[in-house]
Amino acid sequence: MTRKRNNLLLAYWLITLAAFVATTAMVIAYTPTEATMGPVQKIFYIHLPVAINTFVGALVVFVASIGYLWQRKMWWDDLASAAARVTVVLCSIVLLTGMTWGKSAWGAWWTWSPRLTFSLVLWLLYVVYVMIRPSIDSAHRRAIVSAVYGVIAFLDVPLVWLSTRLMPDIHPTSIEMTGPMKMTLLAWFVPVTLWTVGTLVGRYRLNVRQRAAQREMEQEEDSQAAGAGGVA
Amino acid sequence: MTSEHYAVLGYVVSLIILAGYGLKVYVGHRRLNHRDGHK
Repeated sequence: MTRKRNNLLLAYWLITLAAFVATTAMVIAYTPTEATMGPVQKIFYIHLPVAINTFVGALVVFVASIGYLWQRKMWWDDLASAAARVTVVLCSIVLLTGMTWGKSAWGAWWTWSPRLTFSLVLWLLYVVYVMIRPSIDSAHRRAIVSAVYGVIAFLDVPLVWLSTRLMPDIHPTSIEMTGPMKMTLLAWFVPVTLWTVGTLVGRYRLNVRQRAAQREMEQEEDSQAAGAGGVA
Repeated sequence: MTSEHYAVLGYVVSLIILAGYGLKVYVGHRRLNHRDGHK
């Protein structure tokens, strides 16, 4: 059973790796260079799929947080915590690719435009989520605080999404793309989504295993303490 | 730096972060497997 599962996992990650290699090759050899912005426009093919997956990650935190508040089952907390970590990683890439593009296109690494500011706030919200968890000792208290926080943090996602529509913003709202450009953009959703799902499941399973290991250790300590008490 | 350099920088940094975090999760599982194997 374990061997079969390991083989399936290996196949999944090999497919993901192959998809990353294929889409990178598409960016280099297949996609034409955009006339106005030049080669830096090609960052968009990774930037947008990662941004969409960031929103999906934040949505999983939101749903899992509501699930925990509703059912008080610890696996919801494990899922929310895993999704928050993946969201931080993805949002970091959104910010870094955006900054790299901005430096080339605008001549500045950063501007305080509404889209960029709300994206930075989103990143900070989930960084704080991940950082405050270890400071709460009780598992149930940690899960409740995290769940309430996870629901509130999600409120920033619609602000990021709607910022360019509701407020004047330097961030581009649409880019004219030819057929190969659209194909490359769509293709990049495959490896990025495979990575997000694979890492989210991997991190969730790790959280479950760590919780079980912690419980086992506490039980061992309790039984040792009880044994020592009996001898005395 | 040229426009091409920024594009390459963006992709390289992104792929390193993705690979790095994937590896971190993998190492976490390996550590637990190792711990389970020594019981």
